[in-house]
Amino acid sequence: MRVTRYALSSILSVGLVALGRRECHALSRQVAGGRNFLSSRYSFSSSALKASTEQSVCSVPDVDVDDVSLKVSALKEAILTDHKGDAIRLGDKMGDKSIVVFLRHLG
Amino acid sequence: MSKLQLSSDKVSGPYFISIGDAEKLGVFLDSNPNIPREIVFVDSYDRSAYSSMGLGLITDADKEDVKKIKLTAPEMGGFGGWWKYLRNAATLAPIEKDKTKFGSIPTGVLQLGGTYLINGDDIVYEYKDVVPGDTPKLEDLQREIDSLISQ
Repeated sequence: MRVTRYALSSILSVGLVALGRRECHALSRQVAGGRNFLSSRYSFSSSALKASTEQSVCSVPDVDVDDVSLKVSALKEAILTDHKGDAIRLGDKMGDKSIVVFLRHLG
Repeated sequence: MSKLQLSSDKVSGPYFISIGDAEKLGVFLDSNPNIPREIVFVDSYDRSAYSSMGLGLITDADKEDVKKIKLTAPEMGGFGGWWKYLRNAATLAPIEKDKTKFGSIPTGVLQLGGTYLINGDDIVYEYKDVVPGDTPKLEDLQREIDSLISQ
């Protein structure tokens, strides 16, 4: 799901670059629909996507998808398993400031 | 410096994420009683959390980058000890039951790790392992933590 969300935001952004000013008004409608779809379905909170869809659709296709916000959002939404076998949302454990370490594996 | 100094009321964690299931995590924690149970979790075998952070596989590593990495033996004892143990040596053997076919390499065993210091919606510090055993310097991470706490 998270991958899908990221892919959707990327597709929207790439679409902005590809179409540019010529498709401004039509694209605005598409983007608005896309934003609503994303936010209603995923409670999407990324400032990056808002920026890329709200700020400059009709001016310059200046896409700035904020990977950092997306990654942090994905991190907080990650559903993991604890030692009891319970599913936990990492964001519920994390504070505003947190250290998270992904361990590597060799098997 | 061998010990990470955390101000627990200001910076939570560290939270360690591995790949596997509750059973393997339980076995691992039983054999490593010094590691607090409440800070270690497992991602599913589809590695979705790892993938969402852009953490790659060992096979993705650039050969020139690999040459630059110096590996050191893990130092045990104290927080710094099990930190390094977890980062260097520990494994939950993330191979899903009955999913390993002869001649194939399970993706989970090739997964590289990473270390993140998060502040709100921002990543203050990020270190992606280049090769297995490549770990961030505790001093660097400590410096970022101190800076974050002092803000």
